[in-house]
Amino acid sequence: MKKIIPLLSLLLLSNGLLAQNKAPFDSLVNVLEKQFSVVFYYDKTQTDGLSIPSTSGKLDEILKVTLEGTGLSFYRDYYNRVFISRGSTLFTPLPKNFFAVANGPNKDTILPIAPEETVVAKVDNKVYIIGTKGGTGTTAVISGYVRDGKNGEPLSATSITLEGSQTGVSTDAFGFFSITVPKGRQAIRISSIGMKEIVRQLNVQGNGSLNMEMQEEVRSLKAAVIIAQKQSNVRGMQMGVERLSIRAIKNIPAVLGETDILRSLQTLPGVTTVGEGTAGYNVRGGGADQNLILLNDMTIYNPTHLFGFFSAVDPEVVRGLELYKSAIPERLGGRISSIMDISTKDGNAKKVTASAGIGPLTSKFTAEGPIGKSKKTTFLVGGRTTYSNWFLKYLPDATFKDSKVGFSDLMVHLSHEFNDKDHIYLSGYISNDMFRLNPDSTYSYANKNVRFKWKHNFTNKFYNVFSVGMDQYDYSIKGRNNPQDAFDLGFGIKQWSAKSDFKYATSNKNEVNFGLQYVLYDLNPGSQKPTDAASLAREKILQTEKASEASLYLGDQYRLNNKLSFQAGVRYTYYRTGGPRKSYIYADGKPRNIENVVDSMMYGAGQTIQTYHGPEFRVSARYLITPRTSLKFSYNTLRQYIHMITNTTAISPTDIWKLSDQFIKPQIGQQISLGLYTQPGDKGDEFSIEAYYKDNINYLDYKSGAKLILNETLERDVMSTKGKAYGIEVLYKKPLGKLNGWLSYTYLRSLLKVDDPIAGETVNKGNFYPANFDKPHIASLVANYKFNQRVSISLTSSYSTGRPVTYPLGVFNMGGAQRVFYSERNAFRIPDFFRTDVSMIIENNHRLTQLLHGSWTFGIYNITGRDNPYSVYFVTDGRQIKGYQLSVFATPIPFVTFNLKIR
Amino acid sequence: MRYIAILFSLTIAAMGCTKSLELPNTEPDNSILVVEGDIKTGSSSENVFKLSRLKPLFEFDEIPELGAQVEIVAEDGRKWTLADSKNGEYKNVLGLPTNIPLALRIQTKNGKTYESPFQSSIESPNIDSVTFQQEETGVRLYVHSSSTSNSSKNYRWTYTETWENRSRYEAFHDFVNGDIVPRPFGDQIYRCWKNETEKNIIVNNTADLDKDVISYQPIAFIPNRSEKFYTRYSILVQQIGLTKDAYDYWEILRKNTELTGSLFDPQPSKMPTNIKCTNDPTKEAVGYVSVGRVSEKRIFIMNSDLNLWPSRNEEASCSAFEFPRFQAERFLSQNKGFLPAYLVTAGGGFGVAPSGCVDCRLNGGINVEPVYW
Repeated sequence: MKKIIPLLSLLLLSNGLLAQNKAPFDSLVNVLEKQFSVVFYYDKTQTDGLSIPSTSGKLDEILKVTLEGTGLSFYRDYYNRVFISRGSTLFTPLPKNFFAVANGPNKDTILPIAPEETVVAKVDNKVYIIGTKGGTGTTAVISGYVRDGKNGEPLSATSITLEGSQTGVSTDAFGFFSITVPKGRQAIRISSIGMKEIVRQLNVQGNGSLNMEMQEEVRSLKAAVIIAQKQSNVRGMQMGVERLSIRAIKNIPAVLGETDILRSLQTLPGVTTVGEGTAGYNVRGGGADQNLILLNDMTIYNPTHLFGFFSAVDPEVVRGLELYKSAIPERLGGRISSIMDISTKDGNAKKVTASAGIGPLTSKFTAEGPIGKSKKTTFLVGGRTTYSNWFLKYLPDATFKDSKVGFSDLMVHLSHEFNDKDHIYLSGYISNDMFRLNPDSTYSYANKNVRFKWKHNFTNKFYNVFSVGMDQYDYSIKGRNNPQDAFDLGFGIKQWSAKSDFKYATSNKNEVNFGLQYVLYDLNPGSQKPTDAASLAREKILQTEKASEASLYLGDQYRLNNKLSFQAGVRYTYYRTGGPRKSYIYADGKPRNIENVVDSMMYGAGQTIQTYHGPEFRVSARYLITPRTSLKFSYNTLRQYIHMITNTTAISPTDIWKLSDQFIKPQIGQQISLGLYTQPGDKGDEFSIEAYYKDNINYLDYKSGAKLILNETLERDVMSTKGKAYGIEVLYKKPLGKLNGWLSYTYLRSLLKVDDPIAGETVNKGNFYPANFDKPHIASLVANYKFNQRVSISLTSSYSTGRPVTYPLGVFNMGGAQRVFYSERNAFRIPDFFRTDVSMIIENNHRLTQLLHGSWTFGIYNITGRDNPYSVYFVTDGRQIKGYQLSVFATPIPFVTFNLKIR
Repeated sequence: MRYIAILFSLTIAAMGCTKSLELPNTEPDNSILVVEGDIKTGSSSENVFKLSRLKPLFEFDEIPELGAQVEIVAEDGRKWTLADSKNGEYKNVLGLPTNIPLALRIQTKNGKTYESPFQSSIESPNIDSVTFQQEETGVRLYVHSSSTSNSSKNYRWTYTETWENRSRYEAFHDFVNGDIVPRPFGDQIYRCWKNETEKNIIVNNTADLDKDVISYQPIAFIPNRSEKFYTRYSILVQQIGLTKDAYDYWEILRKNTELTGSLFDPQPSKMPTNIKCTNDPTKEAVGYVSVGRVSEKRIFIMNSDLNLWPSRNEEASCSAFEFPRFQAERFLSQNKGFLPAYLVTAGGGFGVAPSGCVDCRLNGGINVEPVYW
């Protein structure tokens, strides 16, 4: 790269050497500059004596005729600058290893430009020849990878657009792209979040591959902002997708200085939780169990540590995450509300690096780098453990005192590149949690996941990703209160899955996705074993549940013209649950209870108990009203065969999962949404409004007095619920400038209704009632102001309506004591939520030669000190019922973090 | 190249805080009728129903439902009326038949009629025994019963405790109109009897057990040093069989009471009821009426049956002052809180003590010996 600099100085120098006296060529230049709005750069000594044939016709033709036989050549760049030079003097070879694959065996690898074509417009502008001459057709397909120049990380969601046209594609999760371009001289523009935009000059002669590397934006300020692909919000097909890069996540002030990927999600419109510091989140008014969480395609059943205080995925290994809120691609399925796709880094392909962090609650270690000399294999290992026992002493709930807590998680990710066509990946993840309440009971839960992935490119337009893996989630409760009732209680779910995804980009206008997926579920709904000879606890082992889910999908994305694009997909799932299993048969149309049992049935091993199947439709369309404004529409249907049953407001680690069977039907949801996206002004600002309506059936609720743990006949204690949700999300983003950030407002309603005729009971008389996560008004502001290169401040502020709650309304005496009469379910609301956090980052200096680089982060969490209720509770005080609210973070909490990097 | 990033972080810890929350100040909906009681069949059981109105959260006093007509009706049209005892209680010993479905019917003063459905009487197995165990912190009482073949598997227990409570001095004299006079025979204030009923809902089922056997079902717990065992104690345990729905009702009522509203507590469940207002569907009722034959068992426990249980409250100050008769009478006239406690045999003077040490009724209880004592 350095060799280009003298070249540029030479050009600038030659510009200054222009002679004063007017020669015929100078006159030509004057005329042409006006006529074609171009600027000429040339050395007057070289152009002396040139004659002017004609000034009519195209610029290229005029110059071609003028320069013919003079030994001079011209180059007109994208910025309408015309360089005239004596070709051979300007030739600069490509720096060695500038592109890693340059020396590879692949024929399609880019080659330096031939000497006679030499022209350079800017430092990293070169003309690359793609493919070889002689092919038929007027277009060619270019495919390749876009990577981070610093560590070789693939850059996903990077947009690649053909200059001067509407053609554009974006890279997938592997950083892979495929674009069809007309043959000949072309320029492509590559932009990605937080990376310096690059433009590549190409001479496309035929199909070929092109790998590119991008450099981090020097001013790290831009990184503080979540910008989905610069143009994709308006131009992209997707809607209802949120992307967060890890740098964006790290810039959101975090409680106790612990960066948290799930917490940061809640700053985005449409994502809510029932309380500060609780597990689970709700997307657009859907239930917490209706969200699928994928970590490198591994299903994570419980993504939190410590009752939900922390995310269980170490942010140090994460590259970024995508959250699909409405238009879920047909390749994904299994949950009806949202899908979160977390991807880890691939491991630094250039050098081995390691980092260690010591925080107030956790310590972590990350190492990554290439293995071996070929650097074709990379590894990434990240682990984290806690020593947060001290933290418990400050929790206000007395039950936490004298308790112990521990958690850890470990992520391992290996990748190997055989060649440009074959990549393999192996990911493994383990998280463990343990907490002991007083000395009596120990709760523990664990995720264990492993996945192998193989990406194979058949051609540069067609590839396949095959993956296979196992996901497991278990929890156990060990009761050691006294020998008489010592017990071990366990629950576990295990799933094996394999899938094969194909993607075929037939042209820039059309892309076909198809594939299949198979999941095998093995669920242990609960077991209790006495652990002491003296124990009176009965041994009880519930029958395991076994089921399989096969899906097949086909989708097509088609661009009709520059304005209108469509995407249509269908996913067909076939679900089957089988024996061995003993179940009951209940009288038709009667509540399922012991009185209405008419018979029992024993299903043999492998015998089908029940099947469900049906299509899911994923349709969306985009219409560009103006180049900067678009209208999008999407309609989705989804199916879900696994259900979580909980009777608490927040999800807890001991909630149980249940597979669909002959009594429990799959959840089916649909969503229709409409959005308007625009880019006002020239500063990259974005404004969007999305409105949606969704509904679902067969969401499970529990009956009054239901027993959920160790229940052999759960069908008697649950009832199905209908849900509907609707809302509007308004978002204004200012991604660039000294002051940047975003402001969002969400109106959201989520309502449930129980009118199952065979439930035997209703909730709130069978009318719609607000769900626990129904919060009509939510507003949030994230702002960042950069004073200079070293000092910046961030502020996040959020407001939401208090969650619905069931309050006591009256009291009465019965059974020897005063009893409470409750309102209809969720008839009232707890006080509204409002919190503002600020942080200030001061960096020492940016001198590259310095060994130690430090930065300070000062912050205050909840600066207004508002006592937002974490929970509300009621106690009988004498003969009165009194209400109290508990706030966890009720005072401003200052924090200081010092970061030290050693090079 | 290799770099190591080390992160140091200092944080001031989070402090939780609790503050009182304003509960919704809704209009007290005292149109909701609260009905407590069961239809008890068989010869000897007394049928008692207690009617009141739901009271607002911040109200101290109960709102009894007065002047209602309460009756038990049989499917064949027979009726039994319960007498209004003017405090919201309606009761009678009826001797209801066990072989015919029965229902409760209430007509309130404002003209609303509430009814429970006709239900067959549920047979409850006999209580085999009631036992007690002295533990480190007190005495725990258990009930044991074994069922006949087809009885209910769901049970609820209620109990009434009675214990004798003696005053410190057994006084044979009284102070009347300025004179110390002998107390008439039979008008004793030395022995009193106190009653208490259960404070918790005690339900259990044998659905999970191989046999319909209840053993060591905890009923009551009396902490160490309780006055209940100073002299003699008795407990009458009643057992009633429940339908599954009735059992669920009591379970929900019990669970709802224990809720605290935190995020990890189950949400309050809707309380089922089997009492409906027949002439105004908007009027709600609270309560669940079961029909069943009650089986009961009474046991007695003497102070001497327990290890090292005190026989009186040693901490109370019951010192007496001894005066000649004339001075004692003057002292008693001036100090209303004292009574003659005993006769000083040598010299004819009197011991005078605080009333609470002489009159057992002042510590609660009545001075009439129960028939079963």
